[in-house]
Amino acid sequence: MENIELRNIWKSYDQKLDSILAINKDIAVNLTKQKLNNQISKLYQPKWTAIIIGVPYTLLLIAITTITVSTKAYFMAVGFGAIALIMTLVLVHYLFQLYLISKIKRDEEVLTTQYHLSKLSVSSFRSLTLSVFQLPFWSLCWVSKTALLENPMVYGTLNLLIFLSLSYLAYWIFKQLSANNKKSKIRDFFFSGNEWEPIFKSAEILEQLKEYKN
Amino acid sequence: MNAKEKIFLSVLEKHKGIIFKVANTYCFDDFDKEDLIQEITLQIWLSINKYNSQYKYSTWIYRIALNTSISFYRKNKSRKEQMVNLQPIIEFSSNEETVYQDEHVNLLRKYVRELKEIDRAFILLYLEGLNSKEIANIMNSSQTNVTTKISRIKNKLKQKFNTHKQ
Repeated sequence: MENIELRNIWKSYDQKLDSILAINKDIAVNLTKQKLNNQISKLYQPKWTAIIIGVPYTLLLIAITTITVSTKAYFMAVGFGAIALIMTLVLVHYLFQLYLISKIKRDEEVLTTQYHLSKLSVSSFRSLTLSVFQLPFWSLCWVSKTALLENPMVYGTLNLLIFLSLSYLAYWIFKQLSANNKKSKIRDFFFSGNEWEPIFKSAEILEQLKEYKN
Repeated sequence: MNAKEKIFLSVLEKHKGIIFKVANTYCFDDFDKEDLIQEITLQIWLSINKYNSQYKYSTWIYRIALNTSISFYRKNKSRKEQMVNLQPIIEFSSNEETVYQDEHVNLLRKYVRELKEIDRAFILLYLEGLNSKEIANIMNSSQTNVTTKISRIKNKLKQKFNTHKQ
């Protein structure tokens, strides 16, 4: 089949379509009045809400870390410090998402817009999964230095096991929720197909876009 | 009717074919297609004040229609519940079946729909008769890249046609 034939086939479809399509003008004008809310602006709201809640929460964690360092409660300091660090990374993700939203304009070039939209979707999901890594550090916050010194073998081993188990659990959940993991029962447990599909599709689009990079 | 509405309606009228064909390439069921056409129309309305006259209206419409269509799947099922219940914006003024009588047309539409989302955008623009410079401009890719990719996609389509013949 010659190149020209593909275009000719399409042209015959095009000509037939053009002659019988009609615009329902009243409905088009009504639609703009009924749905006159900029959908991109709607994306800002949950991000700003997360930042407004997340910033004081992270500042509180940093304050607790500072206090625990000054009182030489080092286990608590490491625990809360790590959680504060993870929360800071999550907030950086949210700020990046706000930057991406400001870049998205649907009348701009397709590859650029799709890149920003896909990145936004994947970043939103990543910031959520990143939070899972807080899990093991919560166990550190309650380790007592006195109890550890009194019974280092039993108390120390028990707490180390709890920390390692929670670390493995966090890593396992993170891997299960990864965009590359197509069949995950854990993910299906947390998200329904409808919630997961847009994220998975966005990851797919990012892969496709790589092929088109100059 | 104000000036903005007049421009909006004249752009829709002139480029209804583009909106319909793009929606038809990305949506398979009629309900989704109608929803997508509504979204494209809304995006055109929201972007009309920002229209840059250095581009042709058709270039601008292709960008909006393709961006909206590729992003369409990101929404979840709730969009069906939220959809404004309206009659179709673009409808057939006579028998729709006359468009789909040709076997080659139907096969080509089917094969295009089987391509990946981004490939589909490139080949659609090619089939619409745009040159590599125009396609590069809509998609934000180099002309060389456009030529190479389209040639690869065309080969895929030809292979599918040949397999069908055998």
